[in-house]
Amino acid sequence: MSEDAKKLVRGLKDISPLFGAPPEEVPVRRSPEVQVLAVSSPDCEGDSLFLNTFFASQIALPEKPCSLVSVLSRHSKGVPRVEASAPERFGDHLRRCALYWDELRDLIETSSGDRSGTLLQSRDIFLDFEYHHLLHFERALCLLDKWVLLLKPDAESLTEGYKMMKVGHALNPQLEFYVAVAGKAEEVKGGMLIGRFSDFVLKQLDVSLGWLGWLDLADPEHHFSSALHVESLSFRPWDPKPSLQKFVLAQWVESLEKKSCPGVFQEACS
Amino acid sequence: MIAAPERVFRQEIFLSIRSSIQELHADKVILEDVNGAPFLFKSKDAQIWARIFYRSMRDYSVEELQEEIRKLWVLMPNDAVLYLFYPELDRQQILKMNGVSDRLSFFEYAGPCATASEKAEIRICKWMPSWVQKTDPLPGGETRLRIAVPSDSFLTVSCLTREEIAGLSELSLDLSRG
Repeated sequence: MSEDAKKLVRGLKDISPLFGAPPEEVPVRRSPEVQVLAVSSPDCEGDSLFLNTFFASQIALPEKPCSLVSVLSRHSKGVPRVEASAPERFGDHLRRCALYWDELRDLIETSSGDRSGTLLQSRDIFLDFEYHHLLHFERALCLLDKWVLLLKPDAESLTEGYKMMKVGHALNPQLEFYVAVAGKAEEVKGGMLIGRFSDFVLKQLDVSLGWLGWLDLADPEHHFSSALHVESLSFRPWDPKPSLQKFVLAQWVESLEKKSCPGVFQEACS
Repeated sequence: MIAAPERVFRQEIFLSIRSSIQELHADKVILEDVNGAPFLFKSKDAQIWARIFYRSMRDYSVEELQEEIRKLWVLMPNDAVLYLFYPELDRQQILKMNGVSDRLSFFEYAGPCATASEKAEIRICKWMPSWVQKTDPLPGGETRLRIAVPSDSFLTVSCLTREEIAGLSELSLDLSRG
């Protein structure tokens, strides 16, 4: 510190005790831990809600809200509209809200984020959409942090899964991919299969796949005989990918929850 | 001559596919033209055409398929897309047709099956966009058809390169060997 600067500091201390007092510790405002995930399968078109609900239930925790956001086509058959003002409870730790593709597009493209200064809650969001509906708004893939693909151990499923990865990687280069295999757990065969497939994807797309394990959809009575290792789907503080769009989506979910049950929300926040 | 139950069956499939296309392209008006039923329908602006087959793709030769597509091309605007629906797709046929057009998509359907609403519905099982891979001129001066794929479509990037097709085929062979 130069002599002039030292004099200035001494002078300031003389005229006000404020400058002499040790600086108070300012509480660090941590960025909310928001991540957006999705589960898709080239072989289970129409089962997106089930798959996303299942995986969400695997990682949902009481201390961190987990939401399902279903993106619906306005002409979908047999899918009752969930009122945007009332998130639906799915079990103890999961809530589902829904919106149409055009609403999602408007939300993402026109919103400039919350300027109220209130901090968002940390949250995991599962974006539930049918893959072919991405034609409505392909940029929805840019919202995702992690994309889980449930593939069958056959050539067609792997090919279609690879195409989905290629699309996802092209639109969102930061997207992480995880693979689970549909069927009975066969550790050796599964390891070999996923090893080969993973090498291929790494070579072609320069993308590393996460391996989650097995899910036998033919065995609902035994919780689908799931042999999954979903720990890697949890939020990792060292690998955040903040994006305005993601926070806009989280903010939209939070505002719906606040509207539907403000008391519960306050309690959850406290 | 087609038996009456078969006719009803086709009609159900046709209506259900048309309804699915309307769902996919909510911004378009899909026409209900009785003349085309149960084989062909299009959107009002003629940008989307759908041709429905009721037999496996394997029952047709590549030449037959190309001829069918060429006939429709005559009627279609240059930038229109054509969806082809089959009860069963044949990947090899689709690969052989690589180069015919970048505006084709092949769908495999299953059904119809009755739903809770008593309305028969089909299920789209597979979907394969058929785009030509960009290739270099072949030895001897022969060139393959080179079609520019619109760069703004997310479908564009799902097109596989020759190297990717080879890699996936190798993987498939390993799988089939067990």
